[in-house]
Amino acid sequence: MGSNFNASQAGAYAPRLFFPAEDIRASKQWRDDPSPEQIAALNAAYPTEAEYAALLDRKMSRRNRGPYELPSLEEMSRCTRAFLKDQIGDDFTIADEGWLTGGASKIQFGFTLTWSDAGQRRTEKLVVRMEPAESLNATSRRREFQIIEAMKGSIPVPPCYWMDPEGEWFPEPAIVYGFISGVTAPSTSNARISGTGTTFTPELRAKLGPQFVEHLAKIHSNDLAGADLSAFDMPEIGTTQSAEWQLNRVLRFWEEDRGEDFPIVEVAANWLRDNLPELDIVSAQHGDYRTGNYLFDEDSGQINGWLDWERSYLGDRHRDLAWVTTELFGNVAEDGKTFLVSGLVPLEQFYDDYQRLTGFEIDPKRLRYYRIFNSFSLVCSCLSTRYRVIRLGKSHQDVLLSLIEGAAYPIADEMLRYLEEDV
Amino acid sequence: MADQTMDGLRACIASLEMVVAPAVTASGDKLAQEQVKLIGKYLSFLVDRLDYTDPVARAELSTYLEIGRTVQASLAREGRGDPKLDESLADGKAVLERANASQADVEHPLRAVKADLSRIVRAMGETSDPMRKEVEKIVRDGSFKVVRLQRVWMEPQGWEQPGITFDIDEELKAFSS
Repeated sequence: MGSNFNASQAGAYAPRLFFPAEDIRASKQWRDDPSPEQIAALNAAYPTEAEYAALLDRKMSRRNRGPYELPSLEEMSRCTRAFLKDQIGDDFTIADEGWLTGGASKIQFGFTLTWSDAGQRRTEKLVVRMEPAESLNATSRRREFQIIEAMKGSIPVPPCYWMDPEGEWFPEPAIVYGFISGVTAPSTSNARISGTGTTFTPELRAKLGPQFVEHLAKIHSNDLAGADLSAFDMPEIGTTQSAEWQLNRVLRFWEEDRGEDFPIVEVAANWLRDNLPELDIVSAQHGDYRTGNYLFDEDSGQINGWLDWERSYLGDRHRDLAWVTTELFGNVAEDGKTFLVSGLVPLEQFYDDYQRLTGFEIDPKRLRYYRIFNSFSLVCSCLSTRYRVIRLGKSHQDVLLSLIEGAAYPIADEMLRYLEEDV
Repeated sequence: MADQTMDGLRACIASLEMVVAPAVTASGDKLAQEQVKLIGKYLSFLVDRLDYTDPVARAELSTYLEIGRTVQASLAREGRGDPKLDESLADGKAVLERANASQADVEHPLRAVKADLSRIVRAMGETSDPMRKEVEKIVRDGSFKVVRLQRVWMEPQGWEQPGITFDIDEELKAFSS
């Protein structure tokens, strides 16, 4: 396997598992074509949720299949028709097929479906959301489908119709859900890629801000009773299991994907391992709760639906609470000093309103842990998985991913500032 | 032969903007429209930064050598120096002593020093090594400089907060001094 260090090679400083980055100009690196033994070693070294472990195994075992080939519109149309036939029979028509934009990783194919549902003729605009061969985040369509279903009736989400979790009908795993109208940023805003750094007028903030807090409060307060969440592992309260699963997931993909070593990542990993927080309450985590991942009506200021649930999991509310305060996702108000969470709500007001709505305590220690964890996780995916996907040509969004590299460093700077207080 | 790479890149950007983008817009293919914009943006990034590739690579190596030497000095003080890191530091020093070492020259020793530092920090994290905190602090403090250099390099990608700007020439002067 590559060149793992052991005691005979590296004197006293020999980690249990460490595969240094290889020559970036090499035509083949071991990470480009791992063996089953290597995959098993990575799986064993970094225990995480079962669905994630399987996804990462799958990603690595299919890595040597060559560059991604974007299916043609005709092929997607054929797959969609075959899939629908097995879900609802022959009595349907499809129109308005085409690619949609949005997101840095998944393929979205839109169409209008007319079919019979419980004796009624229905016409809906729908979206196929499908994996490319590899993407910035190796995530589960089954989990995404289940968590959106669980949130139905609690906050605005797209209606989920069907899923193909193993890619039996489509080239890769996919879900089919309803199209939601709206925009991710005001027409006047000059948002960055993926909607980070979006700015809003004070009028729009006044409309969107309260919904933004309220929806997160509802996600975290959702009792999930009766929901099928079989693709999620339930962490044990009073233990560090949840934080450890999440940390191991990141450590694993850092080891699997990186093209360069970055010593500060190792410092942060040590700190995170030493400071794993215990879980007090299990909450659903959206996982990427920020402006850019909801659609709203620009005139009314109404949030029409929350998207991009692919990073969701069951765990500590402080993960989402810390995520929304990431500097890159927010901006500063007109006064030049007030930090606006996701460009919408002053930070202190955000926490006050959240606590009032949920009755949940916000623990500064755990919030700090998850701030460091979140920046660590973002740095790792920007510098490792993003690189590997581009190197191997694994997605339709490789050019977008090339432009995400620069996001790693303002986030790394934020991580360093947090670590400065402790290390 | 005069290097006309920049002119070629600018021609590509002009072609994308004047010819390709209007045609793609007319096609109604939203994904293609988005990708044309992104390609233009990436090419513009290259135009902004290609001339700085070598000095930025040298500045990064120089910064990691500084971190590596400080770590090694701490370890050696306790009689625990890392032989592999010693080797990598010597290779890096030799490369930097060459006038105008290129990015390609710098890549190998830079990779080696970063890997050695990563390995040492990770190994120390797995034990209750008494020197761990000291080594981690050296790496953390030195990394501010590394991260700043990368932010300067990546600035044209547009990820900095409004109001934060860097002058790459001034930054590189500060690194070389």
